[in-house]
Amino acid sequence: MRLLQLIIFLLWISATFSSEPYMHPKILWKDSNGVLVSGDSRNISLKQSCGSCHDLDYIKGHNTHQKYGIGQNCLLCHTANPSVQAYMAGAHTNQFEAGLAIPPESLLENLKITTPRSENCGACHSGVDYNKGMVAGPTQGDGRKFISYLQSGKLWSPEKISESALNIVGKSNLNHSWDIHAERGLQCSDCHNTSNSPGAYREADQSRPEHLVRDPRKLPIREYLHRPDHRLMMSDAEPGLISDCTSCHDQQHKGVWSDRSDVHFKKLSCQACHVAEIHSPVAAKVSEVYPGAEARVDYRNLNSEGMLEAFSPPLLKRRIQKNGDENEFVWTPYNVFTKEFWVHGETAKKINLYDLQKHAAGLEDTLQIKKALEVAGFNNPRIIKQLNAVAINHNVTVGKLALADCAACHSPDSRILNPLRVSSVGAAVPELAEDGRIVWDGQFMQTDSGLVWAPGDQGGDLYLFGAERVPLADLLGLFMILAVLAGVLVHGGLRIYFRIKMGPSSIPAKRKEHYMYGVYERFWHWLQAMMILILLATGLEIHWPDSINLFGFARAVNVHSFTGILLALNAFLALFYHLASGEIKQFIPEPRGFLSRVIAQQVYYIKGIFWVAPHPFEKRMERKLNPMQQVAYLVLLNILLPVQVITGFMMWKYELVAPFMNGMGGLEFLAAIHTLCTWMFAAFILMHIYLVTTGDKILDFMKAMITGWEPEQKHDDPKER
Amino acid sequence: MTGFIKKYYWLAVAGLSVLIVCLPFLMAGSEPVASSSALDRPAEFLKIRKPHLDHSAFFDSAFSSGPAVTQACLKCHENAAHEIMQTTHWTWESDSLEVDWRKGKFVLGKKNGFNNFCLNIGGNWQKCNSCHIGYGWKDKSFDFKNPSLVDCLVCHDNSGSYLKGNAGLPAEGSDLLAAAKSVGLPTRENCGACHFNGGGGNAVKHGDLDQTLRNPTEDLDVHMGRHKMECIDCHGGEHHNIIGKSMSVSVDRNNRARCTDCHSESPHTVERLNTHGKAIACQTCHIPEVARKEATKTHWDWSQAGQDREDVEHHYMKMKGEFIYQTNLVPEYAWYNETSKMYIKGDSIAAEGVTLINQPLGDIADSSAKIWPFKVHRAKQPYDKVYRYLLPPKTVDGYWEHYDWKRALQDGADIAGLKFSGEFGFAETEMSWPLSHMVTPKQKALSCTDCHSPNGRMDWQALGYNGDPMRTRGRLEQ
Repeated sequence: MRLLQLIIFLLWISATFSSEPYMHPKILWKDSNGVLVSGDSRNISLKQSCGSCHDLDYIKGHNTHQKYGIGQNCLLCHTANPSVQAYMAGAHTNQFEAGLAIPPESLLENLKITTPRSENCGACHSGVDYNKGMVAGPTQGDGRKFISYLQSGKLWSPEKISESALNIVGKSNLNHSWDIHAERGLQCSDCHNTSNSPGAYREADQSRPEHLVRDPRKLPIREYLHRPDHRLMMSDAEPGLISDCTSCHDQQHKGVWSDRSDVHFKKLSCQACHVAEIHSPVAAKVSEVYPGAEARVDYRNLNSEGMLEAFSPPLLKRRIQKNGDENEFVWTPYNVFTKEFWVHGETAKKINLYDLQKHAAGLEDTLQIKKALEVAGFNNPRIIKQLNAVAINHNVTVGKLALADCAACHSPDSRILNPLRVSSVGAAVPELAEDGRIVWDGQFMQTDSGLVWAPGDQGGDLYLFGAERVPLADLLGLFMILAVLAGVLVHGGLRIYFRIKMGPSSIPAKRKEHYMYGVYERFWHWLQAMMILILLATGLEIHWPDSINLFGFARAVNVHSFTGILLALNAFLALFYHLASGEIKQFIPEPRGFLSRVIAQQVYYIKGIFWVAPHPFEKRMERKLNPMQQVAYLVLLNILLPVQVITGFMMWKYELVAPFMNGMGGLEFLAAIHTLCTWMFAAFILMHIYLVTTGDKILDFMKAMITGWEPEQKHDDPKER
Repeated sequence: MTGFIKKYYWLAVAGLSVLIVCLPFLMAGSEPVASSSALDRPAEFLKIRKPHLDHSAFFDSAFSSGPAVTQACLKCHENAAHEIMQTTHWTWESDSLEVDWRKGKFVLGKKNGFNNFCLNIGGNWQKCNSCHIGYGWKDKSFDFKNPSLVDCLVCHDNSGSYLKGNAGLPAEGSDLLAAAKSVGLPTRENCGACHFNGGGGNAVKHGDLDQTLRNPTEDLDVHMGRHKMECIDCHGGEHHNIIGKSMSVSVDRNNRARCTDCHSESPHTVERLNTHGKAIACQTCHIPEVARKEATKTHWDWSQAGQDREDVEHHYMKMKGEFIYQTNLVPEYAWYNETSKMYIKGDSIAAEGVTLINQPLGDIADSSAKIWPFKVHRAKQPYDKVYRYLLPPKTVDGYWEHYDWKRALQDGADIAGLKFSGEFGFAETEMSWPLSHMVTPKQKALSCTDCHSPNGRMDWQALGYNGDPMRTRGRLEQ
């Protein structure tokens, strides 16, 4: 019975494994003298064995892993199911030259040489889980292994988060994988490939003639296998060795013109939106100061109940290479955390946890540990506190789960501008472990809750709508509004007071009516009025998205942009109408006697209006505006409106004007002007609406602008006299 | 008229300005419009059935027998029995048809077919036919023309007080009157009474059909669990001719129930998944495992029967031999173009290796074939060493009484009209069951690396690929 099951199982296993053909030719394992290794205990020599076909000197000189000492052990990366512990033992010696003592004869016979699989990488780089097993916490490995997982929360696994063994808040709803690339079956080496691999070769669009789809003149496989360039492609590698999202993905075809994708693609890395949240544990502080099997970690996203919460990574400014320009930046997600560990000697060589545990086991006092280390022969042992920032490039979500929430950045709770609690580490700001690509635009501060990174004001480089405001513009504007409001209230109050005091109106119920506003005038007036109101409403939402929620931020931005364009268009058509019809004359004050006419109008507003004195000027279809209106519209239409439209347009297509504007305060300056003008518009509208009520009867002027017919106003026009 | 225009033209102007102002909102609106097609949102278009007419007032006195109930039914539903008698639920056989692998015309179906569970119904009618939709098929003399022998209650009883026993007669204790009063549309209980118990017990045969589907959770079966669907929602049909095919008794692709009866051909938002649909049946990803709660039989070794060992449930029975049962059974995968080959009585067994009782047809070169999930049942069953064909033993009132293989095989061969040389052995056979039930919610469906990884569940080379088609070439490129 059991036997039958066993046989079936074995058959199944063999069927499974036979599905992957084994390609590597049979290896003649030799020792350092070139003698074939047989059953005795002689070491094998990689130089003699692997080196008989592959140029090991070339590989040694072109090897990303060289500096870690493991770059010279072919078997560590190129065999299935590597026995890491075994190989690590001799990892730091020159294994190409010296012998490799580990594999016994029987193992050598069955040793299968493969392309490095994710398992191979995962043997050292924790957080790589190729199989769909239950992803557990980071504390299962040995102390050396799990740090690379925690420092960015990287969990490269096809497993659905909801199926994992971690305690995560709201886990059952997280029905997506830890990393979409892992889910879609990619191997680490698919992105981090050897840099001259003909299989991964793709000619740059710039150098490839347009009529060619594929250039067949690649490095022949035979030559590649002789000299495979082991400098692996990475996102932060030197130029020519960079692989990033755009190595495979074409961002040209994403987004529509209205969603501001152009700006966002320019300013943000792909990761900024596609690594929306991290649900795996992320470190705030990693301490290897105390002896133990594992480092001591303060987690960034572990709540008081021991549950993992989603970590929304902050965006830091990162220098990128784009079209040869060194000074391009994108905002991209990082984790910033502190590390503390012992070093010794003049070169500040790190004392690892194994040695610490070996020589100072059980000690909790740093002075005692220091003594113990000195006794063990370490020269001048001391603690180094280090500040690290690790770019987050894994944990990528599928497109539909990418960050589509404007408020992530465009709100006071901005991922770009919000202070980040870095660590609870002690008093001094630790030294910075430099990532040459980060631009530390801001400062570190010690606060009660620990060390905090406070992003600086990004100056003209960045004005995050919804997250940033220019207080001076708002203050001035608010003052203006309040002043107008006060004026309107006092003036209106007085009018009401005098009306009541004077008793019944002397205005006859039936008055002669004059045709005042043509159809087109009324049409563009009301159109403009509606659009200004919409612009004010959407503008306010963009300005204060956290407290005003009318359309949603994205919709508000789009509606604002389109309406702005329509408003400009309407204003232009109206200008054309007024020019063509000659009506423009109405807006131009006649210089002779203008001042006295203004005074007459002012006197009316200050005195006459209260007892319904006759208007100083007759309002006629061909002369609708009183002198004060002429001044007001002159300013509004010639200064305020153009400035508002132009600053609005410049902000909308800032890329076009950036070179010109950057020296002048940039986007922030434009925004300040635009905001200030907005307040002026708002103040104007307030005043405008109030003045509409200043007809002989309150609704006279309103009626005129709706029907075109205005009841005759009492007037005392000097021209008529 | 002109006066009217003059008075109200401003309304038109106002309307125009409002329209213009609305333009930005229309342009900024980016919410995708939900598809109104039933194929894209089938769950919202599920059939809502009217309550069935209450029959309780129609019957007041106890029924003496099953046929008496049927006669009462037929008083109103005059055609019902006639309709049933045209269907395979009644005939247990196919039309006479030609097959590719043997000359002549053959009538396939349960009546004459072999399987590798209880092997063959010939001579064993007493037991096997407890699932026949008629009353009293206990030997060759059963009258297939008698309408009153049609069993209405097995499908329409909604009371749960009706059960079939030997030869399809009402089991002792069945309350015929209560059952008759309760009649309604068939529920999962009705269909499940036979189909959940295929092979002689719960979950034995299909793997994707068992008693847990009477009241499943949505994780077990999203259709019957989340949406409370009944069997007849997919296996509908008119005039009592139920839609659906089983590869154990049929070889063609007519009258099938398919996912695409309700779902779109390209239902995924991800383009790659939709192209997968050209080579993979929906079931392959959406049924990751079967026998999720109840173990199903995967191996049956008849050669071990008859020993005086202790009977251990799911492992050994003296009457039947050795078994292996498995829960959470991972399916096996094969190309299937919805037609199949079948072992017909008298066919030679394989010269060496395993004899296939049925075999899904299609391969990588067949564009109408897709990779399907199968439960494969492996057995050792008796064959004639001289004539080299499978033998149907008489087990009921035969082997299970006297444990004499020769006698049982001789009796069975006589009934089947086969010659028996007297020399017999046990041949290895395989039977495949395409899986369509226990569809899991989409979140739990297979994802890429379940197949596309070094330890994935597909045997690419056996399927005809050079290797993992993600890494080499898929069928579309070949």
